[in-house]
This record gives sequence, C-alpha cells and structure tokens, in this order.
Amino acid sequence: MGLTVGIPRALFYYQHAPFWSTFFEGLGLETVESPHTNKEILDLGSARAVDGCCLPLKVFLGHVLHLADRGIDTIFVPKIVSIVRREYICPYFLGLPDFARHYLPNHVRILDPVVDKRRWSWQWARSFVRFGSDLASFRQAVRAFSKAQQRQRDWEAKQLIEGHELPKNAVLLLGHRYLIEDRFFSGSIFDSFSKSGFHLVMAHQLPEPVLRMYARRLQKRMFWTSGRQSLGAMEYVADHIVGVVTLASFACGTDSLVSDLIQRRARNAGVPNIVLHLDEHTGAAGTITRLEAFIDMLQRRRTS
Amino acid sequence: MKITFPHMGSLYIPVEALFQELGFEVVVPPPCTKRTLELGSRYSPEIACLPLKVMIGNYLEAAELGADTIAMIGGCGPCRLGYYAEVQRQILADLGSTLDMVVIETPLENPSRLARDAAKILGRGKLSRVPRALILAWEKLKACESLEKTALRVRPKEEKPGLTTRVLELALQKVRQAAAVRTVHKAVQEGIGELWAVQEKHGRQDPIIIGLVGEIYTVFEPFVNLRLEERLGHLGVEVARTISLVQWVKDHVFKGSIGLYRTTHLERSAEGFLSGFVGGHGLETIARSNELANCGAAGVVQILPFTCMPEVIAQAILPDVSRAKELPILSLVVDEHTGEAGFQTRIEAFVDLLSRKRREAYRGQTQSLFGSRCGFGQY
Repeated sequence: MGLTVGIPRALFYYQHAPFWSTFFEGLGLETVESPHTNKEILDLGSARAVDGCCLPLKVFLGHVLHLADRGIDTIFVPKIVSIVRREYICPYFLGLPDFARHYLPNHVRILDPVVDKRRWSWQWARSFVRFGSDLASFRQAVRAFSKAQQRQRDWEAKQLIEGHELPKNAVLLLGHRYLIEDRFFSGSIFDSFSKSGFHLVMAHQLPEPVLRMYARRLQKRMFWTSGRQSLGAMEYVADHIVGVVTLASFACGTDSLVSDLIQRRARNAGVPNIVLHLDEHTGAAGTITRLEAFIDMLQRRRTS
Repeated sequence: MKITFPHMGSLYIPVEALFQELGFEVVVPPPCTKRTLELGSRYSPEIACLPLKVMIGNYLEAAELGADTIAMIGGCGPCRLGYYAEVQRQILADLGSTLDMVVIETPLENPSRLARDAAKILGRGKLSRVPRALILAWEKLKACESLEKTALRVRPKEEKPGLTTRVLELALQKVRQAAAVRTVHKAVQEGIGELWAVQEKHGRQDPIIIGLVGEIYTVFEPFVNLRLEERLGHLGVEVARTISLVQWVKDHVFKGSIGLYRTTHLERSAEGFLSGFVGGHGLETIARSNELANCGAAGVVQILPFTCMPEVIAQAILPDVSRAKELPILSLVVDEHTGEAGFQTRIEAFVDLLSRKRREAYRGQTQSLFGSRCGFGQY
C-alpha cells in the first residue's frame, strides 16, 4: 500500500512513539514524523490556534500543519481518553481529532483510533485492532498490536532509574512529559543542571506502581494521569531530594492546580521549589537566569 | 455548625432551603462583588480558572459572617471542577482558616467516603427531615428557573429599562421566603404574572433571539458574566438559555449518580463537529449551537472563563458550526481582568450585526423565519 502516515512529534508522541511506529510498521505502512519542535512550527501553531488554549496544544497544531504543508494527507491523531483505569489525560485530548480536523483542509484524512482504558484495558486493544484491520488485514493488525505493545513495554522499562536508587543530590523535575521531553522548551533546564552537580529525576523514571501507591496518600484521588504521577512522585521522594522544579504551561488546566499542589507539598516538606511557566513568548534567557539563581541557592544550602 | 456554600446565580435559594430544612444554620455568602473576586484571586493559584477564585472569595466572606463549614461538590474529571474542593481546602488550611469542608462526591466515585460525609452532615440534622428538605429544595430550584426564563422572554419588551430585573428580584425573594411547597408554587404563579405585566403594551413583539451557550458557572453567575443576560435584554434581545439547572440535576444527580446518564442525544446533535464528551459543557455547547441554528436563532453567544479546557475545544470548533449553518457566533472569554466597556462594545456590535442581517432578510423575504420564536419550546 502506498499510504504514508504522518505522525506529529508532539503531545503523546513522547510517551507512545515506540508503540505507534511499531504498530504502523507491522501494518506495512510508511510513517513520516514531523521534525523536532522549532520556532517555525511553534509560530505556525500559535498563529492559527484559538487563543486560550495551552502551549502544547499550539505546538501540536504546528506539527500537524507542518505535516499537512509537506503534502502528507493522512495524519495520525489518536483520541486518547485515558491510559489508566478511572483516570483521564485532560479534556483537550478528548477533542483532539476534532480540534485538528477544524484546522486542516478537507482532503487531509485523520486517523483517530480511540485509546480508552477507563474501564477495561481490552477495549483499547479492540479499538486498535479494529482500526488496524481497516488499513491492513485483521491478522496483521493483531500481530502488529502485540508486537507494538511489547516494544512499548520494553522501552518503558528502559526509562527507569537503574537499580531503583535515587542518585545523590537529586532534583525532581515535574511536569507533563510532552513539555519535559521537548528539548525546544526544556533544553535550557537540562543544560543548566548538567554542569551543576545536581541530578534531575523525572516521574517517568520512577516505577509506576510505586507512584500509584504513594498517590493514594492524597486526600482526594487525582484523576489526571500526569498529575497523579507528579504528585505521587512528590510524595515518594519528598524526603530524599534537594529541590523540585516544576515545568508548567501557561493556560494548562491541569498544571494550574497540580503545580499549586506541588508547591504546597514542597513547602510543607521544606524542599526548595521553583515553578516555571512556559508560553510561546518565553525566552530562554529568562528561564536560565531563574534556574541559575535556583541552583545557586541549592548549592549554598548544600555547603552550609 | 453554620454551613455555607459557594454562589452560582440564584442557586443559593434552593441550597439554603435544603440545609435549613435539615435543621442547620445557614450563612449565605454576600453576593459576589469586586471584593469577593479580589479576595479570591489573592489567595488562589494565578492560572486557575475564574470560578475557583470567586468561590474562595465567597468562603472568606462567609467566614467573616460566622460560617464554619463549607458544603462543596466534588467530581471525577476530566474538568478541573472535580478537584476544586481539594485545592480550596488546602488554600484555606494554608491561610490558617478554621473552615471545615464537606465535599459531596458522586456515589460511584467513593461510596464509603460519601457515606461518611453524609453522616457528618446528617448526624447533626434530623434524618426524618431529609425527604421534605429535598422536595422543597427541588421545588425552589424549579421555581427560580421558571421565573428567570420568563424574565428572559419579557426583558426585551419591558416598558422601563431595568423593571424586569427588579420584579424578578422581588419574585425570587418571595420564593426564598416561602417555607412550604404550596407557598413556593403561589410565589411562582404571582411572579410570572407580574413579569408578564412588565411588557410594553404596544411595543414590537418579535425580539431577536440569541442562544446562550457555554460554561455553566459563567452562564449562571451574573457577577462573573457581567450581567450578560440583562445587557442583551436591554438591547432588545431575547436570550434562549440552553443550560438548565433543573435538567442538570435530573441528568447528573438523578441519573448520573447511578450511572444511567448518557450523552447520546447530544452526540447526535453535534455530529460532524465533535465526536463525543470533552468534559464540562463542551459537547453541550456544540450540540446546542447546532440545534439553535436549526430552530432559527439569530445568533449564539458562548461564554467561558479564560482557559476553561472543555469550552476552549468548543470555541475552536464553533466557527465550523457557524460556517456550516450560517449562524453568527460570538465567544466571550471572561477572567478577573474583564472590563465592562469592552464587553458592552462587543455585545452591541454583535447585536447590531444581527439586526442588520434580519432587516436584510425581511427585505428580501428570503428567510422569513429568521430569529423568530418558532421551535423554541424547549428553551
């Protein structure tokens, strides 16, 4: 088949890329990924997107439009309702395919399988196999699905900290994975910390069952997966870290509450913390200055 | 135990009745004012959405009047409202406030906790009074809504500007004071009669009809939406409010709490634009706009708090509905910095546009039904 599927390098790409690429490979389809986020893509997205939506959504739109401009007329935008039982990602993800469709010319086809593990995880398997068998044979779809799932699991296991031991002088970096892993936004954070002698630890490097267990300490069950992981990580390592950096996007609904809760928790635990709000006008210089001051403070605390 | 709760339009009337009938002392927070908002935004996370901030203001002002317990609803996502109560509890605790919070969660979310909270409330009230309290509150809720809906229909034709609002306020107070179901019914009947009497005798009889969609809190709380319904009414517009609290309670409390609520009818109305639930009232916004276009509304106004996630999705998609149905749509975003003048200008420009469009339609006789009242029974 001559179908080429465009995969925007945004949002859940950073979390599910191995699964997606293996799945399409198994179906015998060619995939094209959009390039890493750059100024041009960001501008493309933020110029078109409705004002009031969050930065990652604008970036996502930029990637989608970039793919469409390159003449790719099949774009993969899954509708990710939930990836963990009884939890959501955020309302934006529920309307993502419709959102993307609004901005795209009519001839562009959107592939929008539903990922919904709210009730039963096999619902998700069924919807993906059904989606796959529309593009190839049923057999191929089943095989591609199980292979993709295996790849995904291996990849996730590789993310964990070796030996499950926190390094010394660990600083917890919290936030949506698609912000943390997009080096266009987080590059300056990693650069600042690389020379400082502090080690950044992220929630996805900690084992998920542990995060879930510690998140139970919260007074109210957190129903956003990313928020639950962040708060769980905070509970888990609060006594073993020297600082917390929270990366939040302006106008992100979940971050607006979660980053506040993280701040309060850090204050109670006596851990220094900083919240960096990102939007399309954020300059690297300002971020670096603030981080340098924060790192200076951590170093002074360590020596005293 | 002096109980209080956040404001949302005239909702305080039924809620006050509910707790009073249960035998509690109730402190209704003072009506939302600039001070409420200032207090609220001083202590809330900066980028949280507007309702959270106003509610914090409500709590603090109620505490000044002696309240010691807050009743608040919970939820289980995906909208932020579900986590409000917890964040607010922490904000108040960090402020050193002694306010206690009772959160009413949906039964399916955490049955044991609901039972515990219910026991906490009911333990000090009288169990035998629960049915009576629920019935009275329900009747008052229906009463307030039917009065408000009548006011929406009457206001564009009122004799003196502002008269409808005054009559409505008097009627609502009568409902508030009514202590039995029969007195509530009587107050509503009288109120509706008085409201219809406000109309100009020989005025024009066909105001432009605009549908109001959007986020429930901003639709109902007049302080937050800068009295949008009144502003539109004074410009000679009849507002068809598509969100109904009575319907909301039927759907989410009666059906939803036992897992019977389905959104199929909304999905059918929104077909081709939005494929399903996006939290909050996002799906409703799209579905109702589409329905309004089909029954001949002249335009639609969407109102949302800044960064409201479900409504932003709807806002992005509404232009599609607008184009497909040739229906003018105005999205109004409110936050703590919204200024009155800019708001008024935008509304006036929108209404001007609609009335010009209607004049042209009349002249050409192309759309004789444009913006008239046919098919609006349900709103």
